[in-house]
Amino acid sequence: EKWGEIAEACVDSSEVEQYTGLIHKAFAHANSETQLETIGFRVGQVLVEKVSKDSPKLVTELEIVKFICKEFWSAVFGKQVDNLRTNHQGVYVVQDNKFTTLRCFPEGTQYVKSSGRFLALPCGILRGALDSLNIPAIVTATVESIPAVKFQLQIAAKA
Amino acid sequence: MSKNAKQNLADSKKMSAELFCLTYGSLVTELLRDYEDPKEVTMQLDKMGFNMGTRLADDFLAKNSNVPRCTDCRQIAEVLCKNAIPCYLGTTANSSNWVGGDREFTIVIENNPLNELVQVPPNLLAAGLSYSQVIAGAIRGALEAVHFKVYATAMENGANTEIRIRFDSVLKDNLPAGEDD
Repeated sequence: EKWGEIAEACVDSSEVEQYTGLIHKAFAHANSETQLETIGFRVGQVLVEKVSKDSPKLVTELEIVKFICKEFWSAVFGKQVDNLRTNHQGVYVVQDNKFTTLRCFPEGTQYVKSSGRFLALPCGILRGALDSLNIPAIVTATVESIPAVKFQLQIAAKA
Repeated sequence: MSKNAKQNLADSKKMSAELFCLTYGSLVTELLRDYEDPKEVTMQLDKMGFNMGTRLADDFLAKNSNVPRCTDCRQIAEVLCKNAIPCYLGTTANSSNWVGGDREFTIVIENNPLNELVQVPPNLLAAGLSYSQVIAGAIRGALEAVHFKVYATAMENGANTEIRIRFDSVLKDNLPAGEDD
């Protein structure tokens, strides 16, 4: 109902600017990537519980990330990651050279742009999994050439 | 997708059953949040299934070249139960409950993988949500792609899922389904 008010109020395009914050917010909540990410988050939360049921206690952050990259990754995406790097300050870069969801895509750089929304769900899954293991993080994916994907796990600072 | 997917996951055609099942569950939850009306969600699931089915039909015929040309409902049911459902759901199915001169039948899917980790709230079922409608939709879409018009609805029945299929007619036009809508 607020949109009606704004549409009424904004006769001049310059007036729209004062509502940009609101507009951004509205779009952020409605776009497909965000919704897929939310779905993934829930899936990741549940999945990690099933996968980590019989695993030994994971204490450090590095152990947890390693667990995600080995056991969790192979249970969910069918293979282990190819490369894991960290700057030891809460940023991990996980590389998978043949990522599941992009395996059916033509290889190369042609469709890199449209692959974004196919990675929203896996990003959500990883974020959900990390969250369940008590590591709140921001997960983003970058693709340079299909089907290789780099996931960046940025661990939120502990409060 | 199959039960013993663990060993075969590296194969690009397979995916983890748990991942699939949970993702489907989350998808339905999200749809419920979006549409609010369980009946509308059922319709959307049916539509998704239909679109999947029209494409799956091609894939199925490409993989199973030995499938005979179906001339009656019993044959359709047999191909669905013996070939199509095991191929795509990794579980077995049986046809039963034939009525209306073989024009209406039920396919019972045992251990429906979609339901594996799921408990659908009874109040939603009562409000018209049909959780596995996507399978019914896929069957409808696949059969429409080979020119059989059917109506399909899914019903949960404990551990099994029943898909009620009613044969309507043989489509005569030569336009492939999905091209015109």
